[in-house]
Amino acid sequence: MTDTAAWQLLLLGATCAFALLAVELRDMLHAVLALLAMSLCLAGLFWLMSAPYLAIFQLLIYGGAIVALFIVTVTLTGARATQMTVHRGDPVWVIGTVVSVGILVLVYALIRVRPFQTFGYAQLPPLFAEASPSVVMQQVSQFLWSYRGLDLIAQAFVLVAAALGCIALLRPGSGGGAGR
Amino acid sequence: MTALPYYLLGTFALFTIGFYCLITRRNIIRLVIGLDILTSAAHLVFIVFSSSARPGFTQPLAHALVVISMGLDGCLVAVALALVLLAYRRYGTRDVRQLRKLRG
Repeated sequence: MTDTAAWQLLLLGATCAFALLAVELRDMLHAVLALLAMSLCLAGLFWLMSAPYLAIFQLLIYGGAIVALFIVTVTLTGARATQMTVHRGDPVWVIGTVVSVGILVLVYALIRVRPFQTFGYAQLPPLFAEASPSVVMQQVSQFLWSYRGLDLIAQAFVLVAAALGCIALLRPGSGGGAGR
Repeated sequence: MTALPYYLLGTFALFTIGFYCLITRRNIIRLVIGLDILTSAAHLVFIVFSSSARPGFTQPLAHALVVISMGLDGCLVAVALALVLLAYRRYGTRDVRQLRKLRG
């Protein structure tokens, strides 16, 4: 195993550990900080997997915007020291735990029985022209702005709709009592 | 031996953690965190598959799709947290079970 693969596995383990902390920590602010650490580890993982665009987007969107939104929400709702959980022994908790562990065992069994190689579409020739970083960047730009251009325009509309939706939801007198 | 099975196992462990959070937590902010973890796991499994064919190279198509998905997930979280704030101001609780009881 190469050094890069070892670092990738280390970061993957750290990502899972921080995700578990984000779920289990009692203090919501600490949980959000664990989510931030998870995003940083994931960005490092993307970077090592030769996906630098995704690493930057991960840092910008998840490590920046989403964590800021979480912190604002936790502050405004005063939700720091509350851990509302389904009690252990509750049927929902039992079913949830069994299904979660079942998914993991099923995936592990699938991997053991039939090792994955790659998706079929990975063999498409235009996607593997060169392996140099500059060519990868050019290809990503080409995919984003030509092949997926329509998706990007649709995404821009979704972003505008989300911003307008948030403003409409939180405006004074919108039914939430924000202006009172 | 390729490390792909380990990556897949780690990725699905991340997915399981998100799923576990959705099932066992009642704090609505924590549920949004669980959704965030789930989508991160989906992005990661996409990149793991797309970078497995040739070491040191990830397909641009996977880049493009995950970038779009990240933007959409940002929208999802923003609207979800706005709804959380609205529900808290209106009903004074963050417990999804209590919110379910309040529907009329």
